Amino acid sequence: MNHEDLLKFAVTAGQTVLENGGETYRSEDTITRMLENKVERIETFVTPTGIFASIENDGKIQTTITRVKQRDSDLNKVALVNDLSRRFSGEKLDTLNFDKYVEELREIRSKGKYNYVLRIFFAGVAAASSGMLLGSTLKDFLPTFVTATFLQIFVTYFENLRLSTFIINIIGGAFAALLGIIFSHFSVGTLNGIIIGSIVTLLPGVAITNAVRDAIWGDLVSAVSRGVEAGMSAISIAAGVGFILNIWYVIGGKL
Amino acid sequence: MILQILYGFFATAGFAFLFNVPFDAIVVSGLSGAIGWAGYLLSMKIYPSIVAASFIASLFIGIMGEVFAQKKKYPTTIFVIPGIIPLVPGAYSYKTVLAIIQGNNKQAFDLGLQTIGIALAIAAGLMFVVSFSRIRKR
Repeated sequence: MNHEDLLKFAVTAGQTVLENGGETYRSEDTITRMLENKVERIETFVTPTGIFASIENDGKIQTTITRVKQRDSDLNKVALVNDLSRRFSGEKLDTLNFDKYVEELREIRSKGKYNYVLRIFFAGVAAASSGMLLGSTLKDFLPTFVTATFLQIFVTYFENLRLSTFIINIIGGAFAALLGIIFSHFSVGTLNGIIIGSIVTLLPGVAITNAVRDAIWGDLVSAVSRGVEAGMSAISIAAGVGFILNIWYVIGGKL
Repeated sequence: MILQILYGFFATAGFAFLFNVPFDAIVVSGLSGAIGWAGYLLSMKIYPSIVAASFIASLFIGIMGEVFAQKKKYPTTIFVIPGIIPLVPGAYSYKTVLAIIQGNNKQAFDLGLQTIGIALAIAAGLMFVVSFSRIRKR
């Protein structure tokens, strides 16, 4: 094991944190904490779309840049890497069983999510309950549940095709609006209640909050990029919904 | 009111499931969401301001997150991210853009400010707790 391997390993850990919904500072923390007692100097700069890290040893500087393209919410991986990095940072360089840690990180990165059917069911539960918090009536509960489950099936399918989030959100918003119109047309629930409830799983609420949190923390670059990300997804969802609502309005439907 | 808190629990737990939170932490994060939402409702009763209520609620969620994180040895994010789900201004951001699309610029401005205000309140609430817990740990 040499310093290149150490750096690569730590950056992969940081990348796992970042790709799975960990905050920017947590990713930075992970890399720094893991290498702090093993190299002379470690500097990292993490943005939501890339990781820069360099270490210095005997006057020699090594740097790596890692581009991060996909972002997901998989907090289990964040927790596992957090645990791993804590243990790793306690190790001394000369007694370190490096291969064991590399193998463990590889395993963490290949872990899957919960069962597909359960995920869809819980998307429905989450959306219908959130709808109730946002002021829907009890009448909307069931149609929202149905719309959200179909929406989740839809979105998961498109995500597997690796379409961009922007397109997925437009299609998803349009789909939710369409089902909402169908349900409310046969007077099962109200249009607004169903739409807002069922798109809740797509909406960037957490992203907006994280952007502000980064800004308060002083991570200005990542605050701006997360803010833009959140803005784009709000725009795309509303565009999808607005498109269908306008068509419905033009062909003479009631809103 | 009790029904609302129950919905808060299910919304949070459902999202925790979607975010792939470890199985033994799902109920707990649902609990922190429910308690946060209860704080929100209470604060709305005392003083009807969404921004202030969001701040109070996120204080609750931050504290719960710290407590559970110490007990269960998970990072606080695991409990905080699902916990703030009932509060976050996702629906407001959507309504803002929809108002722009439909040409209601004035309404869009109000909603946009509301969105930013709520996000600021939640973020500030969480940062408060994190900052003080760091001081305590020293």
